[in-house]
Amino acid sequence: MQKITQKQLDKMLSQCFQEEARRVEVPSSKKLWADLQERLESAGMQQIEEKLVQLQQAPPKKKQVFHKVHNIFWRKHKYLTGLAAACLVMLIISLQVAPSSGMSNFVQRFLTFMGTEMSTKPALDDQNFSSGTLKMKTEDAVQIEESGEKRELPIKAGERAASLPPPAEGAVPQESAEAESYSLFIGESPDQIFSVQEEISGQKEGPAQDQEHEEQGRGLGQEQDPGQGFAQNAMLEETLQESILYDKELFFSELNDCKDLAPEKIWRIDSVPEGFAFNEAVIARTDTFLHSVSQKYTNEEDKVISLSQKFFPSRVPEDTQLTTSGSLAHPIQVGLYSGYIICEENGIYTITWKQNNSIVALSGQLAEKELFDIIDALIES
Amino acid sequence: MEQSALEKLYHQYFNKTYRTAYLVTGDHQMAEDAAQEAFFKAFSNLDALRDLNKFGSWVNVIASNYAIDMLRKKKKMIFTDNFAVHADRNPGNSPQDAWEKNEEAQEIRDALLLLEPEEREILVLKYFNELSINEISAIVNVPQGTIKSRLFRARKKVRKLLQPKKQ
Repeated sequence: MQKITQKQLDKMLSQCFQEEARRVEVPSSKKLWADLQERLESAGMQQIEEKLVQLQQAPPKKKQVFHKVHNIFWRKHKYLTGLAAACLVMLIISLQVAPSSGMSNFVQRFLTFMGTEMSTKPALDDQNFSSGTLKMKTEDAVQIEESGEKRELPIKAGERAASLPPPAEGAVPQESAEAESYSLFIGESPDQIFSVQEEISGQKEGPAQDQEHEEQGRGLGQEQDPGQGFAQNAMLEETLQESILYDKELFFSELNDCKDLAPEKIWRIDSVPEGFAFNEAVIARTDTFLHSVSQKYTNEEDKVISLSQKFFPSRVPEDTQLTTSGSLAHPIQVGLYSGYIICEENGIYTITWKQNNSIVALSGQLAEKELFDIIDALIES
Repeated sequence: MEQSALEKLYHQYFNKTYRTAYLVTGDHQMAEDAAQEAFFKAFSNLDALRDLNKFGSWVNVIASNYAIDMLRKKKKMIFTDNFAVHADRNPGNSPQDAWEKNEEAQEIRDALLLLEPEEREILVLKYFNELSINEISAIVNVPQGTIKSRLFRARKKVRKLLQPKKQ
């Protein structure tokens, strides 16, 4: 299974939101401003205007800009800095405790590049520095004089100038130390020329970027439904069979048989208010596709609760109207789907919502809350 | 008639604020209400704003919070555990590139619809409004850690919903 990387996900989400936002038809802000203005006037619009003018005249805060830059820098480099600090500590410790070995040379070179000022103890073995002179050919290069017992690794050029003894014989002259290269010369043997950049780049190979190690969720199922992929025209050419079922158990059994033909789960009513009982259900299907399912519950007063679900072989078109013109519809959120609730003059409420591949409608001569409870208790077949 | 400073500010930021609220709610009426409420609250509390350059981000976050509140009031949860089945049963891929692209975008949109409003809000603020975690945290006055964990959860959920499609 190909994992979606963090970068891919970020890009997809960004693009998706931008595209979605472009599609949004924004109403005229002029008309809405008039509405808002009325409210603001009662809340003291003149004072608000004055505050706004004050804000507009206030100078920008430089400190915050610095703070932001500072934060960005540390956020970006925190791992590298931490790694470098850890390496430095380790190296200092190993320098203090390790016996003289080839490692000491590396330590010195590394510390030299890092520009860290430190003085090694005279007790350390000098044999690896016997070549006499260590020079770094950069502006901030460090010069190590081995002519005496004292070795110093000053950080800055200014400090170096003040602290360095006169150049010993064979040392690189001060002027020639100004160079672009970050090469480090140890002694005079060409074999001992190392590229500091190479060494440091090796050190930089630390922890990877801030990757979220997320547990891969279980697969969402990969089976293709038999009903998928059929063109709607082809489907319509097939014979539509309508089954009217008066027995609840038989209805459930039929639903179970044809659920694979539906492109989406089929809802059925599980709980109804007291006094209601199953009346009938209609299943409309072809051999390859479940077209619609409707179920009806009634009570002794002939009040009806009905749930119908119409399926689409492909996605429900965006412009599908859920409401009839003239009806008083209020938008409603049904689970994660948008829909409408309509109250007709005879007191019948209808809640309609659009899913991915189906439109569902629940109606009944009940209180709004009772219908909500039925929706809450819907179960899939 | 010359526009007042408030009106200019309103027209300057209205579109983005409206779109932010719409992306959270998916409903035009709620988006409009949330945007209007957000501007009213922002203008009424201008004292709390120290840098006018942040006004846009500020009002967008307020709008998204209002949008969440409105969703909470209207929202009815029906099937919280079965979203995967919905995501799974979408139509298959077409060989045409353009169609595939649309399909992919649609899949992401579907996945976003399946998120909790709070999760969708954090993604909208992060990816549409392009606010940093620091900025979101400062504006909504919630610790950065909380914002990070919400963002983590939201991304994880989106990834989980999209994963089977990427085989």
